[in-house]
Amino acid sequence: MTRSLKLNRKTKNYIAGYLFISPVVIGVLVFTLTPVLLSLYFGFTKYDNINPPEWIGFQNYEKMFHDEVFLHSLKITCKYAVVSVGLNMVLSFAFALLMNSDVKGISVYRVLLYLPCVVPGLASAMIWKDLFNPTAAGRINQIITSLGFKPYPFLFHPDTAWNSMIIMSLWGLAGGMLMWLAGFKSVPTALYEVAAIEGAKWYHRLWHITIPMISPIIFYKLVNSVIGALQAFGASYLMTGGGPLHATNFMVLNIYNTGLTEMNMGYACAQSWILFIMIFALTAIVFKTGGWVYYGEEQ
Amino acid sequence: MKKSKAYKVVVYTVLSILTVIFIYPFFNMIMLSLMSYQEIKQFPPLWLPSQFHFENYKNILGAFGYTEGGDPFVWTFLKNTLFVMVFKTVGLILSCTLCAYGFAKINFPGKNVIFFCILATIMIPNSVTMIPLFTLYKNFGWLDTLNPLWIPVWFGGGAMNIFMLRQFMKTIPNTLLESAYLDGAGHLRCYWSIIMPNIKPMIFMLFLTSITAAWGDFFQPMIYINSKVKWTVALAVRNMVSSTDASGGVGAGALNVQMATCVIMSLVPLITFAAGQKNFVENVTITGIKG
Repeated sequence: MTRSLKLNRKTKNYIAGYLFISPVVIGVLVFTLTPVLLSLYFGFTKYDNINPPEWIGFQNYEKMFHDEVFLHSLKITCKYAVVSVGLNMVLSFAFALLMNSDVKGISVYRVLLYLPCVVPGLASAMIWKDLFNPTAAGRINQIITSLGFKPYPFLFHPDTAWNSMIIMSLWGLAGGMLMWLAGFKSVPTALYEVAAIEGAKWYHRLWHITIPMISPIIFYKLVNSVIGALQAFGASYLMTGGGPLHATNFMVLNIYNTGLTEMNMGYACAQSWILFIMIFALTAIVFKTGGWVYYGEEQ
Repeated sequence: MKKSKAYKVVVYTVLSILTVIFIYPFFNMIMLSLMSYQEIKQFPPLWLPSQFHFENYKNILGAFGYTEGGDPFVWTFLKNTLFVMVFKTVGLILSCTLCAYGFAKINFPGKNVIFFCILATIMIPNSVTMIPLFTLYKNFGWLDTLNPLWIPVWFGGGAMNIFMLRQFMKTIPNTLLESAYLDGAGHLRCYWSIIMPNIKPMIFMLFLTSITAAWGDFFQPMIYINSKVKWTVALAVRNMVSSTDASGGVGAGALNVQMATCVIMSLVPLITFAAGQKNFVENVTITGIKG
């Protein structure tokens, strides 16, 4: 009697559990798993959204290796991920160190420097489109020409458009600052006190205490930023449409244009799988090589 | 540790230079939004307006055109955006807290496997699902409606959110729930009257991020929506970015009207940032260190 009652309660508990998580299970099945499988399938087909998908085997994948536009987008995306993540990690770390200084009014500076991160992408695209005015009348070019240099063409020249994207991405540097600051706060002050008694210089403290102690955050940020940078899209879509001469045609933009503008959906899906594999492989590598991460004793 | 005077001078100087550089684009946006059409056309460019032209803000109404009834389209866009914001945010909060409760507080077979599978979906880039979702929504008859912008969120509300909430809910002692069970309360009851009040700061953060995201997202509306009566504000502004200056300082292409729009676009995230500033830092601390 009691036993069946207990079992009954346990089963009821199971049912409750499944019911509670059912929204996300349905959500993942319908809005993630189904599209992912469809995407894999479309990648092997010729599909234009009007006629049903037509199986063509590996043709899409073979085509990619001869497709200059795709190969170029792959190249600049990887370049962008390396350079922008590298710059952002180092500079935002330096930023946070500075913001961590113990001087009066620092919180005001923190808020002011964080403001650019609050501006929506749409607005910052318009703001920078104006700042990047390629003629001598542009605001940044005013400064450049007054220093005696030639006006910088920014987004209007294939050689400079990519650099301009990097410059613009640096405006959001402070976005990474918050997590560094939280990390700095998590380091026990006792460690610094001991170091101070031992006569350690600030760079010793930085290298031997701060960096190892916040290595989980470095790790987390590295993975996230690389994944994010590989999927760069908004700025180039809004400001250059991928040009000039595909100079800012990042992978996601190329996928979008191939799939939803040219309606070459099968080919676009195949390209998106290349991006997926890249992200998956990178994440796996970073996790495998994560031995330098210090997780503290309790974990 | 005592700080020398030289240290302070260096820190303040660097901070001030950085602040000027980083704030300038923001400041420039506001100044341009207040300049007259003649002033934005001047060479060399003006840094400050001679007087504040607030009419640029009024011109935003006209810049997006008028409906057949003669009302500015902006009101329609705002109405659509508000609709998405409300339904998206309610769905997001309800669905991801419910799921997180299931994962944090109920034991059932296969829980960890399911949780891991759901967490793994974080790795899938949006571009992989972009095209199949388009065909899927086409089959649902959702194209050119606001449905794709809010209905999917009701199913889970994002794996990352569930993960964060689960971590947070785990820190709430089970003894609190057990005494409630003994009093005959079911899980739904515990979820609503014990867990929800205890995670208010997290819910507030979800509320703010969801509102900001719904306000600024132009990508999804751009893919799924065509008819102008269904546009959201962000989609309308997206079209503004590429519009050319044709109507002499009042149309969507005029820089001063564009910048006025940018200021308005920035207001919503600014307000949510101001409201959530304290919470935000705490939240980062929690997820950054325990996550």
